[in-house]
Amino acid sequence: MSKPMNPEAMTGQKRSQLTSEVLWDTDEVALLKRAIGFLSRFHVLIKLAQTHERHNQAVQDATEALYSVFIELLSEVNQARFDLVNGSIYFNAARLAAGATGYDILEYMVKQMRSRNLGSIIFDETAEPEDLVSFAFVFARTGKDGAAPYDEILRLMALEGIAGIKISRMVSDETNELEGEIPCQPKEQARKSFISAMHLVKEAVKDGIVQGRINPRKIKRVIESIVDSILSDEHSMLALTAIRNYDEYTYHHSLNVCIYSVALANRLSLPRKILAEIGTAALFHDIGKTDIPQGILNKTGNLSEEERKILQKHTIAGVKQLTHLKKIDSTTLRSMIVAFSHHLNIDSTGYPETKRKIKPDAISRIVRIADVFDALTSARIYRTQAFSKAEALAMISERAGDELDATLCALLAEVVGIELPKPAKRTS
Amino acid sequence: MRDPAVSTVARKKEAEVAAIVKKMVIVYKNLRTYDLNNPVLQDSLNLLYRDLKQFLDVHGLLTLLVKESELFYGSAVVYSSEAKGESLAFNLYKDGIRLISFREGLPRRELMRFMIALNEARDADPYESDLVTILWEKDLSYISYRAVDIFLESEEISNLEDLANVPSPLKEIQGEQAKPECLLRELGLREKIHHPVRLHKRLSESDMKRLAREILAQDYGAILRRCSTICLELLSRDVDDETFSRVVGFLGRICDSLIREEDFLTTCNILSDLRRLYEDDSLSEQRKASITQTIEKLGEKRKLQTIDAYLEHISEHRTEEIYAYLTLLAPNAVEPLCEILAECETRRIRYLLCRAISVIAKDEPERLKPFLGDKRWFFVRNIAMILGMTGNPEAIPLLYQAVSHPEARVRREVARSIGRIGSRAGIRILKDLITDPNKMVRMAALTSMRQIASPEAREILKPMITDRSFAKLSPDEKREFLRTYGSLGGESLAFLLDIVEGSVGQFDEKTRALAVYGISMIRDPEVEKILRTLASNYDGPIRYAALEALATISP
Repeated sequence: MSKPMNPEAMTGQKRSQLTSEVLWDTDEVALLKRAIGFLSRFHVLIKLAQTHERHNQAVQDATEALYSVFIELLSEVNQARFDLVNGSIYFNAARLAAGATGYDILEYMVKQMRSRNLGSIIFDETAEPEDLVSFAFVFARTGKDGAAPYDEILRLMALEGIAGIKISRMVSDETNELEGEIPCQPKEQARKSFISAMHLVKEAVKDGIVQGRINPRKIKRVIESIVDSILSDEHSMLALTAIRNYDEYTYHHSLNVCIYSVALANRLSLPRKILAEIGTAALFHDIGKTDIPQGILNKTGNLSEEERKILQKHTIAGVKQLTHLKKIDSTTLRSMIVAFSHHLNIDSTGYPETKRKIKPDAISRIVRIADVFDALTSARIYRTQAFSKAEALAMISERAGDELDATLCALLAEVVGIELPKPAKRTS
Repeated sequence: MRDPAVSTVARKKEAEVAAIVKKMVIVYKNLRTYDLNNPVLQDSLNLLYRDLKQFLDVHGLLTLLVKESELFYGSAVVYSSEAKGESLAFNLYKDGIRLISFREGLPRRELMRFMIALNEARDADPYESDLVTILWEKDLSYISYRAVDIFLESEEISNLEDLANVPSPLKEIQGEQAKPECLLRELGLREKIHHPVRLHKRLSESDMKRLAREILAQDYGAILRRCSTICLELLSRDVDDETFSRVVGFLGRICDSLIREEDFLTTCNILSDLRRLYEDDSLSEQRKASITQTIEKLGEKRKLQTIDAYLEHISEHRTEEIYAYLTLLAPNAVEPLCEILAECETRRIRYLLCRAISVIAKDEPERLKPFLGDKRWFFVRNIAMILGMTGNPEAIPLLYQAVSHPEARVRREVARSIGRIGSRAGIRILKDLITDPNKMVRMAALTSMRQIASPEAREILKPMITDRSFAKLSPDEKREFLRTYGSLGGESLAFLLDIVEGSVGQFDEKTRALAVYGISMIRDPEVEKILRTLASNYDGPIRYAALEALATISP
């Protein structure tokens, strides 16, 4: 069997394929899945090491399971090297992308390695089951307090005589020594991104994306920071969606839809550039509402039929506004598509009604589900009682398959951390 | 005091980094000058990569501090340049980059992408993007950077608590509250589900794979196509004039992008839809003007130059797509297309351009006039051909300009084009061309005269046939004269019969026989009978010609 997964040996092209495209059927992808499987078993062993003694049967079983995956992995590569780079874990230079199941594992490992200042963990062919279990216990014992966990791990590894496993320090530590600046923690970064994006949406709505007063470079930078925040700490970013302000519902809603959309798209292991495009499109999905009279947007009672028709025009108005943008690039165009289609259902219901057959594309479906979820869970000036997340998810799940994308409904449940309601029992 | 041994090691390291940065600057400059595949550029990149890899293999990391005019490694200056435009340091610094790091394991390809990003940033519109956004999109793994976030940090950051401040008056809102059904309607969802089966779906990899693939498959071309459908949808709605004009303009820009994507079919569909809208009588003048303006923009020289680039390499089966697109352009495209035609070296493409230009110039052939004076005879010949292909009689006076062109092939094309136009107005030009010193021109003129079939031609041809000089012509030319005369109708019959019978002029037997072919051109039921009589009454060439003619006119 060839052993291609070595950072030096691997060609740039192959690496690029693995990182920038979603390839699911190749041998390399199968190998990456095994690498995630290895981390999953390692994660189990660390958890057990936190609560059990070393000679406990559960620990021994978990070690055996980990070792068997390790042997399988090492039959294809010389070493299993896990690097933490820019908030992602790389296995032998290929980025590990979470599929349906691996997201939590990778997120856990990122946090654990970051808290221990670990840049790399390298398991080579000589590693024995004893080394694996010892390392898991060393890992479990460190990182709880802030005192030089990396050095502590090194000391304990030497003490335990662990061979076949090597570690290296997180290099970003060195890059952080910029004129005494203290690097942003993920939570702080998320907060900064959130506030900047809020300012951006306000500017877009007040000054008008129409007049072209908003610098596209600024939009890019802000969205990129949101994507980075979601990639490095999704929970912190999602937590910020709980911030509500009735007076500024439009801004908060736009930003929340952006966050939910990027979080959903991130689960699909899409390249960062597309995540940014989705984020931008989601952020400006309701830009057409600036053309709708405030009296209708903030009406406290039910809307009349005529008022509803006016409100529904915001999708068309959004497209009109975006035609003002000077540059036609994929971000502008995706924003336009989403502005038009974010109220279209997959069964062609919803609005606007079209003469040509236009079905919502996948990105519009992502934004749609994020939009519905945030709208249902938000209180507004005319509806002070919002649905709970579980209620909203139940309402969404009822419409999955007909109006909303079923896969995205299930994915949303995973992102917001709520189990989908059990199917209603049918009675004869 | 610094340990001398340590200091020596440090100095050596600094020298190594300075050498690496020097090589980086060379690649940076070479990217400006050479194509990506150029060996000079590739060699310089190889040298940079070799040294950088060696350094990273030993030290694991190389971090450079960026100042306005210098790059620092630790406290040592490893690069310095005051020339802002070309300075590597300044170009990093101006976009906010303050620190840049290269990590062990850096693949050559990633280094190349980084260098390309630096180059792209030099040309980037500062309003649209900068080095930071370009590097972010490249998603590099082994090269990291720290940038001053000019946008994020320039904001007056308010407290999250302020953002979350719920105004108390809300609690005092009196009156009716919107019902949940109202919200559902607003969201475009059904109010009631008839069969409330709740989803309890487990996420499967195949579902996620399908979704991811759907998104990744939607490339730029697909996005453009979807947007064009949306814009056309908008135009079919009740929108105000200003919006209509803007959307039409936007569609024009989409067409530009589609052409760059070589998607001529979608572009054709857009233009056809716009033309259909234009032909709607109820459309206001303002709206019509916006459509005209948009289509005219597509015919501008700089835009057609994009197409010129594709023409040389595009496959044969796709040329018709380009042809279809070009024919939908406005007449202002004639001039730039003619310029492309003049430079075009491929016969197939030249013909395509001639066909397309003739369609666009159909109503305004005078646009071609300036090109008739071009020094390149082959180009003038093409212009003459285009004028003929327009089929517009207004092109005839223009063709007259080229009647005395020194190149016979141009004059022949003029003669052919007059025939293609088929207007009687061309007969006078053909009269000149029939006496052209060049035989192929004369022959072409006769063919065209037949195509026009004007009685005036009879008055021109008859004296020429009876003239003494006629005897000096070659048999095929004589035959062409007589056939042309015959093609002018029944009134030619008597004269041709006189020739055959020898009762007019002094023609030899072979020439008399050629007149039989002229008779065969007359569309008259009597002709067959006459030919049979000639075949039975005569021997030799006349009988042979009559039999041959009979064979050609038999049903």
